[in-house]
Amino acid sequence: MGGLTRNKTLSIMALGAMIGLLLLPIVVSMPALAGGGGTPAAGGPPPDVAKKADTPEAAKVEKGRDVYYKTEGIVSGAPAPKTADNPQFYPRYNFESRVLLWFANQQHLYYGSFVLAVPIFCMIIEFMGIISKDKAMAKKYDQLAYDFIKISLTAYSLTAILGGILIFTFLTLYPAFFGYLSSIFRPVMHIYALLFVAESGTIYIYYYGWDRMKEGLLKWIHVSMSVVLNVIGTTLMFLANSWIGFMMSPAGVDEQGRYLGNIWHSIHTALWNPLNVHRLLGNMAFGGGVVAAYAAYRFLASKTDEERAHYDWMGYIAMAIGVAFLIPLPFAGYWLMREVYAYRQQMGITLMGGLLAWLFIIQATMIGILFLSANYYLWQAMGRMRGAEKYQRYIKYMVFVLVCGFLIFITPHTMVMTPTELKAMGGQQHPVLGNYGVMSAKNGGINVIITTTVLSFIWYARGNKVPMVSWARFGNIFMGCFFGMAYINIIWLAIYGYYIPANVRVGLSVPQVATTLSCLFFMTALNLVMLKGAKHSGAIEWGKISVRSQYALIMLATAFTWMMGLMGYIRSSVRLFWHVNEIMRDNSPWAYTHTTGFAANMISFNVLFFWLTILFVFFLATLGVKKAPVEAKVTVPGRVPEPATH
Amino acid sequence: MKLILWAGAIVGAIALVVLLVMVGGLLPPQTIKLVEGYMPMQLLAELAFFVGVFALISYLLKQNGLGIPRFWQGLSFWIFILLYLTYRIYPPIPFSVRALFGTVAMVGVFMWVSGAEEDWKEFKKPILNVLDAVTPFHKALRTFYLIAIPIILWGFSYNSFLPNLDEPIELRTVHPAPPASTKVHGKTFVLQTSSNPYRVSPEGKYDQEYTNTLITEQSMGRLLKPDANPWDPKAEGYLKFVREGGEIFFQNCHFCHGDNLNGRGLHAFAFNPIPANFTDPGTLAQLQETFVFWRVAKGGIGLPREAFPWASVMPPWEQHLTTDEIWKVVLFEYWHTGYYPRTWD
Amino acid sequence: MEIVTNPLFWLALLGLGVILLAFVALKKKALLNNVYVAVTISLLIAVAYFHIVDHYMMDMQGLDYWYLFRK
Repeated sequence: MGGLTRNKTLSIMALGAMIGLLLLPIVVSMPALAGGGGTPAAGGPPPDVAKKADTPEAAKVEKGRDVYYKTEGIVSGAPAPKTADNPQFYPRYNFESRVLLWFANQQHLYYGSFVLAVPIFCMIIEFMGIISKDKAMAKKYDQLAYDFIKISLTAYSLTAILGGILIFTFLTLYPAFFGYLSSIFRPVMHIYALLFVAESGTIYIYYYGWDRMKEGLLKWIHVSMSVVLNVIGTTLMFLANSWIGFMMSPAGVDEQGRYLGNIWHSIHTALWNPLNVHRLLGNMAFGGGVVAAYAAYRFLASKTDEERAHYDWMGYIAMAIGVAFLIPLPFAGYWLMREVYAYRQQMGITLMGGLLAWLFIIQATMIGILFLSANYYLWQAMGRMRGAEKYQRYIKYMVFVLVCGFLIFITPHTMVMTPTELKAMGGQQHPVLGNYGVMSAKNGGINVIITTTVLSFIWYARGNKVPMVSWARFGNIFMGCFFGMAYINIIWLAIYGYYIPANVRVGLSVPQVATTLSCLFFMTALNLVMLKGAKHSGAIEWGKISVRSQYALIMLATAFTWMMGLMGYIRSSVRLFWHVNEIMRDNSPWAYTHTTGFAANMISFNVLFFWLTILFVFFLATLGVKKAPVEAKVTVPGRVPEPATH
Repeated sequence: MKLILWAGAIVGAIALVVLLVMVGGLLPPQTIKLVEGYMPMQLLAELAFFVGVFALISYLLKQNGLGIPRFWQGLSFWIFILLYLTYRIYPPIPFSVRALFGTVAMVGVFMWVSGAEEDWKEFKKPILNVLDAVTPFHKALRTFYLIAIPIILWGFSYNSFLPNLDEPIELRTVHPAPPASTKVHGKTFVLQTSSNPYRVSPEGKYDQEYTNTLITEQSMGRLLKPDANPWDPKAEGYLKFVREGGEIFFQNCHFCHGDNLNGRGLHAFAFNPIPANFTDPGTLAQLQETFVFWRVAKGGIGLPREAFPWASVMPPWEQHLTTDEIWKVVLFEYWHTGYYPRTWD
Repeated sequence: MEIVTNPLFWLALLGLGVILLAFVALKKKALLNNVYVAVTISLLIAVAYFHIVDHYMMDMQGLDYWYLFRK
């Protein structure tokens, strides 16, 4: 007993040491990189540098003013190249270079986010396996985590290959721009490359050491390794984000684009952190979707009940993780948009109200589809529990609420119409539906959808259980009242927004979100307490789920992929004709914004290509081990795992 | 209890009949008024009411052994939604939006009928019956579909090949991103920081809070606030400027934008698209005052590149009005519509 | 009107709801599952809670949730 505790302490210490070692070079290198040696976070040149400027020997040192931080720094780089439309700056094939780059970038991003997200799942699931008291369950979780990392290993090498292709595309087609970017981010790019090596090493030890390190202390070290793996992976992504952040909202350079010696300024631009959070959550949701689709594919292809049970369960876990990260995603997106508006109002209007507004309608539709699919899956999943019938007859009302929220969420502010219809309507805005086109109503719509999703989750969680606590009735009534008031509050705030000035109105989204989150946290917590010692009206019969549910999972994954492509396109094209916003102009013949139709086709092509290649990856994963179903057989069928995160 | 249920069902049935009469064109959709300002919620409430009524009627019929099969429930509900959207809402919704709503409604109906396994089986039964030709009637039906579906498809194809004389649909960017600053009569206005020089408190200081309390009230129509009549000869400050702006508006703008500012002036329908409707919550209320100033000053010809296809014939008013006059007109427009200009902090 | 726009009023209401709940739960356990009592307490807590959320979430941003009611 004592040995076990000691092992745990040791392993936690080992974990701490590994993280510390890993972070050390970054911590050490940061101030060293930051030009004049000033503290990175505080920004600005240290006082001694400013003083030196007055002395004659430093007089020839030219100074520049940071475009964003407004601090002064010593010019230590060439100005951004002024390109012209010729093969010297833009070497090209007989084809639009931008589309080639788009393709390479998007594929790299798909695989990149997949291999960043899956180790995070692995970490969570492996950890759940370790802390699980039930031996059979523990083994099942462990096997699942192993399955996950197996898929991601092939995807990992593909990511590296695609990354190489991406760099070559940049170097050959946009040498001037890439040269400029790498002149600023030179040290970051080296750290990036080194971290990539570290990531590869860790992931291989992690994967191949799985069986060797399955007992006692070694197992804990193994889990710690997954933590290290994820720390590296996340840092990698943050570094890559700093480049796109720099392109959108440059900092650390003067007006001509000359580097001012403080790399932290160039990394920590106005949009860096919102992008980091948004991408991290997005990757997790996306990864969950892809794994769920993999499980659905294996479910549909299964020939035995054991296989079906295993993949049904896997799909459920992956979906739950995906949706858990999908729920906060709109709020992260909201934060990003706020920061965009704060950075440049014009950029915000181009996104939300101007040139790219149509793409946002498509995005709204995709978000709606995601939530609808998730709800549909949960209702279908109730079919595998006895006793969930009592909730199924309310499905029609939930559909109604969801569809109403969805319709409001996607109603365009300016409608597509023929000139005849325009005359009949008497204006670009419809007097009734036009009201749904503004932010106030849309916030209401999406919050209603999310709250309903939470409700679906709660019903699913108690599908086959009857609460036995003495205050069960009060609990149910309280839950009902709370949800009811939450709906009323959300809708009321949406209506209230029409009656108050815009500057007060924009603030209303915060209480709306708080209402939704209150439902999420309080009600799931209350539900957990109520279900303690609950009576089971029947076991969950894994594998006895309708085929439709699996198609819903595939739909979910496809919608994720499509939306990721779309949002990436929007984020990138908001720079309009700039390589680096307001610093380096894009003078290639492809500096225009594509039509919505072309963009949609291009995104669809990227999605299709990704799914075809990842199907190949899935296929490879099935080649390796044919013994998986046998192992699955060992586990106790029909055991009820707790819903992963809810 | 039973009595209440029946009463509810009868009320619902009457409402349904009224709707059907509207569909038949015997009653205009405005018979049951869509109240201005409350319409969006009214629409949702009406739909919710009908959903309740359908559930009730279906329940009662089932109690009395006359249950409607799921298949027909689903189909008829979807048709109901389509009819409702087409005939109830006035002015008519453009086809693109109706198609969007119809599709989502179809997805919703599908989610409903396939939500539980029993429902789905029941829903599929009539379809499978026809496909398997279980009775001679079903067989005849199947044969009929075999002939009818290709003909319908042929009809669609034929239609799509017909030459279309309508103008093509344009995706128009109505509110393009404004420039950072604009130059009017030699003076540069930074859009993010400029303010209307006439939006002032009695002391002559810029004060949006104060002026907001004096704009017209939006309820059933537009009402003057007590003691806030710009046409009172004693009116001073903000209200006086509103009056002056109004005079400029009626001398220059109302021919197109209408005397109610709803974009339906005398000449409005000569233009395509028709002029902007300021009473719509999606126009003035969404914009900063400086944005409106910029648009008035530069007109259609001054639209930026992204405002494709630059479908505006508004004159650049800087050639006809002074800067002060433009600011006063903008002031009047906000006052009359009862909207507050957007601010960013 | 003024009292309604005061967050303390809603906090008091929330407190009342919680106290009632505690009282019933500890002293009159049988009443807890009575529909009317349960609905009253739940509504009291939920309504007060959401008003508090609305008020403080707006207050946090330096905005006034009761804008329309004060005019």
